[in-house]
Amino acid sequence: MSTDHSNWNRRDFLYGLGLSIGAVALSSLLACDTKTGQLVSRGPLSPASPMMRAKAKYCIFLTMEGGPSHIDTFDPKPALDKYHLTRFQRQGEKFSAMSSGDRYFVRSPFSSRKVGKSGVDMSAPFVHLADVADEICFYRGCQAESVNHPTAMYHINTGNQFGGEPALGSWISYGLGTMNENLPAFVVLPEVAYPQGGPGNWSNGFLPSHYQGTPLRPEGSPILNINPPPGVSRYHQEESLELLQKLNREHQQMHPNHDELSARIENYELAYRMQMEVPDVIDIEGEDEKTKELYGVGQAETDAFGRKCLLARKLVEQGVRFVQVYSGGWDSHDFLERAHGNLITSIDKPIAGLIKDLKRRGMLDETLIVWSGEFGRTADNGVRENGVAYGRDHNPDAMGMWFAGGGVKAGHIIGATDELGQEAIDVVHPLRDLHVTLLHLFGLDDNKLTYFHGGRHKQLSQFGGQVIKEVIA
Amino acid sequence: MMDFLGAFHPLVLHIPIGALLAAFLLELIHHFRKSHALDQAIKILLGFTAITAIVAALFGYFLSQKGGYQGVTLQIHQWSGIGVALLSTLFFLLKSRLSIQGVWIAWGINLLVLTVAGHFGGSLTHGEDFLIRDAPGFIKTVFSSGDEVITNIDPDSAMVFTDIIQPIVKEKCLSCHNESKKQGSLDLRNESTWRKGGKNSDLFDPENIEQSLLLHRIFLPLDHEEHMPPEGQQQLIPTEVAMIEWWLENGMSFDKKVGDLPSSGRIAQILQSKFQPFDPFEVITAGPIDENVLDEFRSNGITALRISQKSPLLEIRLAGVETIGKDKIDLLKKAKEQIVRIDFHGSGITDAELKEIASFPNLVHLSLHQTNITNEGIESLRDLKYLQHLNVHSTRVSDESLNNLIALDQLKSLYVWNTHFSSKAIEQLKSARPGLDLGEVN
Amino acid sequence: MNIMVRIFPLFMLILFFGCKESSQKEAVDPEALFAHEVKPIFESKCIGCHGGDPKKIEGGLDLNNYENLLAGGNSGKPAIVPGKSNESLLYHSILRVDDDLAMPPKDGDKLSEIDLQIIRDWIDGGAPWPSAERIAEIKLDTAWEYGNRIRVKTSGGLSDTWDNRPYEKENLWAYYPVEKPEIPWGELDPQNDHPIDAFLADKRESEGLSQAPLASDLVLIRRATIDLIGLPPTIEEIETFLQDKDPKAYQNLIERLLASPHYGEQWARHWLDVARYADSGGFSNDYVRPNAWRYRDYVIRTFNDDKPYDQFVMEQLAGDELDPEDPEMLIATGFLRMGPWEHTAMSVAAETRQFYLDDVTNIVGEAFLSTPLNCAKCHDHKYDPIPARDYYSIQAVFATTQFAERPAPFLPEENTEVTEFEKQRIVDWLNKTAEEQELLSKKEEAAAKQWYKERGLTYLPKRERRKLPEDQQPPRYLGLTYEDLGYRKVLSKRKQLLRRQEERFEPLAYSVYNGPVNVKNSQNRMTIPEKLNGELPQSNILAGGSVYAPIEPVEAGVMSIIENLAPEKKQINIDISNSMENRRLGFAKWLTHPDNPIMARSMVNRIWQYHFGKGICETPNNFGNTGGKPSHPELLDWLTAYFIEHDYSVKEMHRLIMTSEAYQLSSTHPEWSRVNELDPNNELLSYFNPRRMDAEELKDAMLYISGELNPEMGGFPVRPEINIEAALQPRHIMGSIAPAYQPSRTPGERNRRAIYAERYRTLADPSLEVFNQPGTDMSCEARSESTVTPQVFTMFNGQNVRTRSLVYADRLMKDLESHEARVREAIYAIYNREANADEVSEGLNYMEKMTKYHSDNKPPKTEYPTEVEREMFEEMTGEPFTYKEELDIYQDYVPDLQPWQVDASTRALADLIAVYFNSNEFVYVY
Repeated sequence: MSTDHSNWNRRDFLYGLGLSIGAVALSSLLACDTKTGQLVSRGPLSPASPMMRAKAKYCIFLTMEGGPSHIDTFDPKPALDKYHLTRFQRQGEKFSAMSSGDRYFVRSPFSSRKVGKSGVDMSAPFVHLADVADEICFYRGCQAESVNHPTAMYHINTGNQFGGEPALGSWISYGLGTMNENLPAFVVLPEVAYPQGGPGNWSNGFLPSHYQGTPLRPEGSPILNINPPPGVSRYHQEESLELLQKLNREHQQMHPNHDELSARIENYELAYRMQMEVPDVIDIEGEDEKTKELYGVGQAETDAFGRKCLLARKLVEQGVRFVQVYSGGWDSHDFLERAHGNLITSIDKPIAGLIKDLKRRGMLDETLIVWSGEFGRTADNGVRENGVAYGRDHNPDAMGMWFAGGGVKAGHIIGATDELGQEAIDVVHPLRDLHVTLLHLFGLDDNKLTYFHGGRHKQLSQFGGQVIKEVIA
Repeated sequence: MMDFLGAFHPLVLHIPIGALLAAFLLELIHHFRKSHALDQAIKILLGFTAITAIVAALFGYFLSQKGGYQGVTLQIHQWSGIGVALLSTLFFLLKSRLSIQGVWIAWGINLLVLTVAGHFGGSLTHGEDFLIRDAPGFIKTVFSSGDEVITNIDPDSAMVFTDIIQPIVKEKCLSCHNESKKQGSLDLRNESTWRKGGKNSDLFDPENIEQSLLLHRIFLPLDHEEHMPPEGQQQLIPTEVAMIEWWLENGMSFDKKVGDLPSSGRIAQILQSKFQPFDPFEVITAGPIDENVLDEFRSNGITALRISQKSPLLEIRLAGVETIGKDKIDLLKKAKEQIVRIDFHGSGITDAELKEIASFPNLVHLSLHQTNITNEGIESLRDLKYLQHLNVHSTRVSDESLNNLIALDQLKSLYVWNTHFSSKAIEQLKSARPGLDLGEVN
Repeated sequence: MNIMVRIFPLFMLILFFGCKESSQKEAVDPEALFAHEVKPIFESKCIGCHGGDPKKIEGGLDLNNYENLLAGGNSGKPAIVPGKSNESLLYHSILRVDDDLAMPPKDGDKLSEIDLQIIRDWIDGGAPWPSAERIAEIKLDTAWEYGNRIRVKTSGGLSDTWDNRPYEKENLWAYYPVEKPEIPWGELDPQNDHPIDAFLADKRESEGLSQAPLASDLVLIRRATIDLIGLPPTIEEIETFLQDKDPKAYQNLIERLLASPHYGEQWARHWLDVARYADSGGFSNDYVRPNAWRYRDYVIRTFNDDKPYDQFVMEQLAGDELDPEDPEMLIATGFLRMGPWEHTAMSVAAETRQFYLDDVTNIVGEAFLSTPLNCAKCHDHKYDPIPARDYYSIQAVFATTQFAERPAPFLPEENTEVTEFEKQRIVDWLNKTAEEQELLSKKEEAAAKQWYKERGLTYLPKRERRKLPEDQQPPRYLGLTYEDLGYRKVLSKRKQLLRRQEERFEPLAYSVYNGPVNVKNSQNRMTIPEKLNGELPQSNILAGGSVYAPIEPVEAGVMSIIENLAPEKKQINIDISNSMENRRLGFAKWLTHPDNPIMARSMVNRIWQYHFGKGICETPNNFGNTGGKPSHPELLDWLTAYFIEHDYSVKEMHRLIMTSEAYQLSSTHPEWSRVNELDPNNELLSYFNPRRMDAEELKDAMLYISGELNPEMGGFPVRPEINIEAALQPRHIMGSIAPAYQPSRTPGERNRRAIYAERYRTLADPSLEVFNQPGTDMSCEARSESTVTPQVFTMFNGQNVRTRSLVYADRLMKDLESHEARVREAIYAIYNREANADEVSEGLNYMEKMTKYHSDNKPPKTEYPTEVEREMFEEMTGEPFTYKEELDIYQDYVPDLQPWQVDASTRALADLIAVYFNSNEFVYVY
């Protein structure tokens, strides 16, 4: 008589019984912490524990505005050489005026080779990045939705194509606060010209304004009005501040139960401290020559982006949670070789320097670096009125991005695009899954990181998504 | 006919067990409330036990003839089974003559022999450790021989057979193919018994690996009666099948290391997933920490966070604090067990203060970079058994600390950029601890 | 045996208690419970992942299959143990007691208390699983009621389980007709007590709370003045009000303020927050909308003329269908095009059209129906009785609405003043741009001629030679450097923008017309095509809101729940045309019908909110289930009825609300700790909520106090001075950099009220944005009030506060003799109360120190830049190139008063005034 109860076995029976009795009692004890829609935190920016163990504590998001071509950077397509300049027709309601009509394929102007022990692909202009290839996890399976720059930028930055929603950096500061309360939690290092869609790319949206991205302007005063106007000295400010706070305290006696007053008084003290602290952090002249050289600071073609990468490392080291660095001009509908060539050179050494510097300072394993544009580019180009243009159009169905540090699987290529690079075919995920994955690496659950606005619990991924587990170490 | 009756042995043997225990219960009640009717009932039950015990023993003998059962376990079970039958009969016949103590002694012996027979019978059918296999952790560690499935397969040191194949065989095959119970006369305990193979033919055919008997029987459909492991027992999971296949494809070696065999694609992934580097956060146990302790920290300028909302383990940040000072150190001692990470970078921490911090047992992550600590400070870190990450870049630490650092065997990453370490010392460090991450881009 | 005798009763006791506990509830038949309540819950909350899609059964648990429930999913534990809810894993997980086993996973979808109780009762009742026929049989009994839940009829959801979903009655409060309730006078005297106070007292006393004392006259005049006209009271106005002993002094004050033209400017600003007013289109080009300003002035006139609100709504929705000849009617429909929108060669026509339809449907929902309709775009609304069918029926009302800037002669009351300089500069710039373009094409043609000459071919101008095969024409861009290519793109873009700005001065209305779908590039003016042929656009319900997945055609319609909840006599049932014309008119008639419960409620709630800081329902754009519940529902209905009876007059509502005692209370309460504990959010209004001045109020107040404010009304948008670095910050638009922001040339032009400033979507005035001026992408129901550090930089270091302080100081130095008089005057004007002795002495002491400082330190002279160098990566070539952009206005600029133009003591007085402007007493209104 064998004990043949299909898959019932002794262990499950005991476990089942124990669970229902023990668990209900035990868990009711634990259910005492408030489960409100809003995350309960003390001050808005004071640091908070992650929901689950975090792999990343800081993020440096390198945004290549304009849509870098995955085919000419990290996802080479040798098959294109055969089809170079062969013509075809594309019609359809789904295509913009730009990408329909008669087209022709364009092969990549750059050769590509395998680099690092892990043998990942990199196009020729990437010279320095090859040294750190084994620290990088390349992901080829992501897909955007919009073919238009501003809506695509809003989509990758805020999860919603139409602007007005909080940026990724705002959500992370809302979830975890900042490690240094004298500095903003979310800092943006834009190009001289703001990207398309403007400040909407780093807005706090419906979250309280403490979580807004603070742009450090590359020229002039880093934060508007942080320096007193010409002719106003420190002494001058101290005198004015002293009188002001006296008036405010007297006024506060008459309105004891108006608690906003003390917040505003305290704010003036904080602003005064910040006025001194921010310039010190931002000053990279004090860094030693070797470090500046590592980032390419001082060399013509890499100076601007190099400064921003060095500044990003300094800000993260001081406890700023999320730094977004912009490089613009990747929208190469024509002159791909020159445009992409120059741009790759301008970012190659600085990014390699950033990874080496973070690594030697023991910061890389907890600082997540993300490199991405707002969409990929097509293997073909449209016939324009003046003959063949060696460029590519916008392609939301295939794009190249990579991650480093922060708990990702270094030295791997995850997912793939088809033979010509037109569409992602393996480990395919929509953009919202990228957001869920990034939050997951920070120990935050996208379904629980919500804010009640306009009648529902809103979240970064809009209505939930999955973690791309292949990317996580 | 004998085989047919033999098959009823596992059924019939339960009857005397039940009857004997029932009789014993009545004896207990009879002891407090003397009543003649109870006494009669006990006698009847004892008689019934005796008869059924004899029948069970007889069927047991028939079953043992069917073969497949040998070894010590069988002998013990056989004699204790017969003992039950004999003793219960004697007890039934002589009960009225025995004194009060005599009756109780008899009960003791009978029950003892019954337990022995029962236990060994059970281990014959379900394998030696069937009772404790699924017991909760602490029971298991007390009783078990401690050879549970090893997860920590480090490619450089783990052996293919002993560290991967044997644990699978132990869990899923040994209960029927062992020294005492050689189903299909196949014993899978070690290399020699593997090489001998079972009664049909040897398990591994080097020329035609797919057709090897072992793989053939594993890949049979579940309801096929020759499918191994037999239905109703714990089945092999896909990764285990892949491991066995990979082992056979590489010549069923017993002496090779995991690293020696070529492993690609899926096998590499399985190996990597099996190789969980030692994770201190799973092992460290610390009592719950009260929220107001954390608030007390924060109100004294110490940034304190839990590593996750429900965990008692804490991370402390004192980066950039000019002078740490005694009261902050004393305050931190309140959460001595819970603190797993402290960030002192850019602060004014002194060697003396570091010595006190080093008494925190569960430290995993320690950032001391850009401070003025010296080799003396490093010295005090010797007995931090969970310390995995130590950052001392841009400090005055130098070659004197080399041995102290090598002694920290749990260390996984050590950042010594921009310190007074000589390149020779760093080379020594690399050779002593090959896996250590020194912050150099690989 | 007797042992058993003793055990037995104990055993029976346990059994008895066990059963008694379960029999306590009224004998609800568990089968009916399953059919009516449990099955719909499963279908709406669980089947999505557990059984809806046979291929994807999460956790191996299929809620359609009873055996699977009994056996349990992958966990192997039984999901349901009939009779024992505490042992059923399903019940355990919906209790959400432990985090990693909380179902449904998202907090937002968690089951309500009643749902949990239903499922527990069902399981404890034996978890019966009646067959489909039995369920149908049970469902025949429609009188089923459970708790206070009811079933409502709508135009029909996509699934019938959604159709018979239960709703709590009180969550649908906004959709029931308005009944004017009795005023609960209690002990109050109907003759001289106020109805509003009666309603408030009724609820406050039931909570046992006392009322704060009345505010002083001084506090009251500042509160009322800023509230109604957005500017602080002048010293004279305060003096006359304090001395006015007439018992009706306060009512007269209100009448004076309502009569002031500034009233329209302040209350139009509130409406423009809801409508998301902006002068540009946003997205990548942020094209200017040259005629949008006429809609802004139309809204100001509406409030000043106290136009009935229902007419105001009717005009904004269907003005062009009411009377296409009246320019005011065309201008009014600008409301429908206020949202951000852009169509370029890069965008897909079908998508940008659908983007507009979704935007207009949602803004009509939020602004007039106080219901965010976009929740019903992809599926039937998860909380409110609004099926996707309603969403697309309302959207169908706008299917024939197309864009056009229609000719509309200027009205006499419209201000079309503009300086010659402003008009001429655009002409000059266009000419300059044309010249530079000419230069470049000459250069290209010269190279081309050279090319032809070398080959002995006849030269062909560019247009002809372009069609030739590649080898028979000179290589592209021959003769032009990358710099030239980049600059040529900048020139063509600039020409495009300037031509649009020129249209600002033409009598055009930013309006709509009815016709077939017509999506054109948004860079040039949109006109009505002569022939309006082309088929009637057909609207459909779209699966998941995607324009490529139509499910079912729909006709223009309204919110069906309102029709179905109204009793027979209150049914509005206006039929809405489905032809090309008059769809919006029909919808507007339904919306503005006196029996429509929601339009009037929505506006009354908004008026209340702008007076008290919080609406009776605190989410004015969302009266649905997930919005706030009204704190005083009867008061809201009484006020709504009053509003309709008084011909939807907004000014009448101000008179009613501001004469109530509740509005005149002090902001400090004697029993503060008790109030704070019993009513922390002050829902019972036992004291008056203090508030910080809005961004525009702050800016206008400083201009008004310093005497610089030019009170001119309406007209073309002006450009005040903003932070110069932000002004010259290059803004990336498609293919080029937007022209630099230059303020209007003269102080008179630029120092206007903030509502007249030109509002670009991609360049907000930093000093307003930092004080919570809402963005223009989403409708703003209520402004937030946050205290953040950048506000300090703006007020403490910002140029704007410094200049206003300097001008005011200069005026005081000229008008008054002694420093003491000047300090007293400044405090009185800024704090709206007389200064006390030590404030004056502190001020004088501070001035003394500062005068000494300023006499030793001469302020440096600063110059306005006259040109700016632009550097960008040219999009096509990726080459960095630079070009000079002339700042024509700054070259001939009339600056405000500068520090080096006044003496040390004036600068000292200016610093003191800047401190007063920074202080809490100025920034907060009590």
